[in-house]
Formats: sequence, structure tokens, C-alpha cells
Amino acid sequence: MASLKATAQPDFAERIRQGERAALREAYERTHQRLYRFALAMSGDPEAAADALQETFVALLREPGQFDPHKGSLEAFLYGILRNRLREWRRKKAGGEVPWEEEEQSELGQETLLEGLSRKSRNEAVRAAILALPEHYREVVTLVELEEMTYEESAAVLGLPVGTVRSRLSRARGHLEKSLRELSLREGSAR
Amino acid sequence: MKLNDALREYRESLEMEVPPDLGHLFEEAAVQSKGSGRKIYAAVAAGLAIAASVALVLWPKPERPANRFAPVEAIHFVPIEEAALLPEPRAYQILQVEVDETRLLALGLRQAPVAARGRVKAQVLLGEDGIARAIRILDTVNVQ
Repeated sequence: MASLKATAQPDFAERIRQGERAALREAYERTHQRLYRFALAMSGDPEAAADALQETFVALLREPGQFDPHKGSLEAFLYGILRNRLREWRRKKAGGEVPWEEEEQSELGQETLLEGLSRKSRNEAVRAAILALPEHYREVVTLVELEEMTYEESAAVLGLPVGTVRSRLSRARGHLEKSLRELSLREGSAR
Repeated sequence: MKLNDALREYRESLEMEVPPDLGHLFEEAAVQSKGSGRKIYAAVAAGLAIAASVALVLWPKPERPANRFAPVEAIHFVPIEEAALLPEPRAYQILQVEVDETRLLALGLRQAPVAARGRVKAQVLLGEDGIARAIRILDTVNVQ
């Protein structure tokens, strides 16, 4: 999570809390790309991602004093707002969280997947598989695998113990492999 | 292809995505205040803006004409909902006015008058088109 490390000094946090426009703008410049990618990966919808991103920064502009550096980094604070906005969007869209049945973790960790598909098709398949994950798995996959955060950074953003992030990621990867394996089999039999 | 490779490919595709440019939010920060709080004061603010416009005609000489226009710095302006659909100005000006308290009361624009039969000093935030976007009451003057 290097994007705000350079601005993680106490005075910067205080400038943010005071609503200093230059500091807010700097925070935006340093974070909006990865926040947008996170929103896009979580929602699969560019419009929803853009709306959630805008609402996140509007919230920061309206009430910068809500950011408390003692509770976590500014980036974690922004991710928190963004996650809430995305949850609201998902609830409105789906009419509630889709229940997810826990399954045994896949043992096919090194299986060959998606052979014979074009890169575009592979990306679509991965995108769909990630979007099909329940939210708590999708978040860790997005942060760790797509945003390349460390377990510790992801845990800070999500407000979870590092061990929980690890276990969720492991299960999420198992689900992804299962989904992509099934897709590979379907594609293989269709050819 | 292994899962890690598939995820890496997808990550690279995401990195090609361009986020929306929200830089305008930071230029508008001084007057943006949507949300529940905004609605509470919107009607009062709209009426105040109208009254302030009337006051400009009735009182052509404010006390300190040299300072009538100043750069935007205030952050406690109440946005005028009726102006929300107008194009966002590139620049703002603050116009200081005085509005008759009785006029505000007559129009139902004051919930809790600071003083009866005085004049209220206010600042109106004007866009470059001359249309008020927000207003704030400063204090009451000339109390009789």
C-alpha cells in the first residue's frame, strides 16, 4: 500500500481532517486509481464503480474530520467508505446479499485452467468468477491478488486479523479454481 | 494456465481501466454539501437568496463597497437547491449584502430571528453568471 505511505505523516492527516483542499486533492490523486480498480473488480460495473468512487470522495470532502488517523490510515478509511457504498449498490441491485454455501476447499491448487481460450475470454472468465464470490472472499481476492496488497495491509483495510485474511484468501482461491475448472470443462466439451 | 497467471492477466487488464476524473470535486468543495443537512436548510437558503437579491436593489450602497467582492474561502455556505442544476461556475465571488429582518420574517425565511426589526448581514456566493449558488448569514446589524 505504497500510494499513501509518503503522506502518512501526522501533519498530513491533520490537514486532511481540517479539510485543507490541497491535502484532499493530494489524497485523491494518490488513491483514486486503485480505489477505482477495487470498485470495478468488486462490482464488475464501471458505472457503479465510478459512482462509488465519487461518493467516497464527496464523503471525504463533506466530513474530513471523520478520518481518525489513530484508527487507521487514510487509505483504509477511504476503502471503508468505498466498501460501504459498494454494499449499498449491491443491496439495491440484488435485493439483498446472495447466500453462499461453504464448500470444502479445492485441492486442485496447480490445476491447468482455461486452456484454449483467448486472453479476453480468460479475463472475462476470471472477472465472472471473482464477481460470483461472496463479498468477504471477493474483497480479499481483490486486495491481495489484484491490488497486490500484503496480508497485513489488506487486514488493515478490512479491519480483520491477518489470519482471517489468509484463510479467506485460501478459500476464495479454492472457489475460483473450482469455478474456472468447471468453465474449462464446459469450454472443452463445447469444442 | 495456473490460477496465479489467470489472476495476473486479469490484474493487468484492470490496470488499463481509466478511473473517472473527479478533480472538479475539489474545486467545488467550498459549496458542495449534498445530503440530509442540505435539505433542512435548502428552503431557507433559497428564500434568503431571493431576499438578498431584492436587498441589492433596495440598498445599492453596502457599508464597505471596496470589499464587496472577495475570493471564495468560506466553507459554511448553505447551497441553494434551485441552483443545483445550473452549470458549475469556473469562478465564484462573494457579495456581502444586508437584508431587512422584517422582510425575512415576512417571507418566513428565519426560523429563529437573532433580533427583531434589524438588518441581517449575509454573504451570497455568486457564480460567474451572476446567479447565487449559496448563502450564509453573518450576523444582525442595525438593531433598533
